[in-house]
Amino acid sequence: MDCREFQNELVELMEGSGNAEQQTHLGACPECSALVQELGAICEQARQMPLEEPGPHVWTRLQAALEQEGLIREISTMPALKPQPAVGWLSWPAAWRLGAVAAMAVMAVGLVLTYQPLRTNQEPLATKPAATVIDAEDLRLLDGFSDRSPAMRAAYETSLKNVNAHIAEATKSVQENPNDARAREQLLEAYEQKAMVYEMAMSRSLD
Amino acid sequence: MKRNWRNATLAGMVIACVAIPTLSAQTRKEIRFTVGQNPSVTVVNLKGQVTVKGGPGRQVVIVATTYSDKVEIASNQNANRIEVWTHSVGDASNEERRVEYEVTVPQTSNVNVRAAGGPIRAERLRGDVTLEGDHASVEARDLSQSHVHIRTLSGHITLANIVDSELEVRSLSGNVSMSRVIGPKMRVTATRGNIFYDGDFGTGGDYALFTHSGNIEVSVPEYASVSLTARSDKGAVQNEVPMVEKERTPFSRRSGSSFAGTSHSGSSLVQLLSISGTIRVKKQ
Repeated sequence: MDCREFQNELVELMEGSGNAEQQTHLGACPECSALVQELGAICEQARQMPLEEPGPHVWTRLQAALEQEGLIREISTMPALKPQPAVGWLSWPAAWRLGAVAAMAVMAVGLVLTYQPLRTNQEPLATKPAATVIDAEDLRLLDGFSDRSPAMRAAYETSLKNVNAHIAEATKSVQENPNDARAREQLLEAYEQKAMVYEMAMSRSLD
Repeated sequence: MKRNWRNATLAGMVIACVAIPTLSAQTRKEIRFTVGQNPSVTVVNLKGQVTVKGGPGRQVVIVATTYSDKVEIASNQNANRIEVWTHSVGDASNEERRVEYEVTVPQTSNVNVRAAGGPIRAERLRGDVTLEGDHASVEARDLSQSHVHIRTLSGHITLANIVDSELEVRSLSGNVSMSRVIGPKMRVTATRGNIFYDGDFGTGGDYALFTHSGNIEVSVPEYASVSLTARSDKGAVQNEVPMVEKERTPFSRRSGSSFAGTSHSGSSLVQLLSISGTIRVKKQ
């Protein structure tokens, strides 16, 4: 099992239903081991936080975004657009893609609300700032443009690099100032900007 | 002299030979829909300008100009909802996909425009307005009582004469310029772009202008009634407007990098935030 396979099955491990192969990899890979430890700490902190119902504006904005994407609307007689071969992230069902965007936003909220520096007797793990280059998910998103419009791909690649740099700086700010609520707000803003890029890319895939 | 005249004539003939086929490729198509109150109008375009204007009456009029036979204009009406979109046929180059739309709608229409590569312009509207351009510039003016949502990746955004409206504006690297834009609520977020505001912020409004690495420049008249906070983590904050500085703020103040003050009764709340850019509050 390599790191990619391990991380694809991380959810099962975190829920306590991991298998022997995962345990073997965990023992042999310091990077994956550090990741599991960090996630465990975040989950533990989250469990101790009081549950709060999101404000009504959250659901209003989510509904508006879903309607804007055309994922919830009345059945219309609009003729189907000429099908385009979908590639990479764009080959996912629309609900999954929206789920990915929503998950990114939820993850950002969770990260901002629950982030606490590790307090253990061990030496704190070295925390890495978010990548300033595009990551695997970004590449899958960009792959969807390659066939249809190389110019659009280049424009989105630039935008993703800009927003990833923003996230990296905001993440660093949170790490340096873990008790600063404003730093967390900035990180949330940065993730919302990235979610905007993904939403717009999804729109292009439907156009 | 004769030779010059001959050369000019030949040049003219060559230009005509090129221009005539180009002009003849233009096709203008007009579509009309009759709608009820507060219709919803969506325009999706790949490349080319999209202009939406509010007009009288209960008709939606769409005039589309195409420049090649490799695009089609498709449209659909479902009760009070109109959808128009550009559909490319086969392999079309970027220029062949160009379509220019001029759309006239009832002023209270809810308008939704997605145009990745062409400028977007919206005028004289009083409904919900959502404008989305990737690297397209977006211009909105003469809107009132609207909910305005604008998003671009790198397109510049220009807003003018927008009153009694709620605005949410986002751009990654485009600049956002506002002139006489009054809430009651406004949130502008840019990552690398600069934000310019020229106006008085009205009364009782709530304004938040945020840019990560861009600059913010606000120009207000002396009579403006604002409660203003301005902060930049790594840049400078300069204020030229006479204000009573606040003694207490929810953030730690650093001279030259933050400012909090009230002008007159402090009717509108204005928050200016940049991480590494400069913030300037100027007197008009």
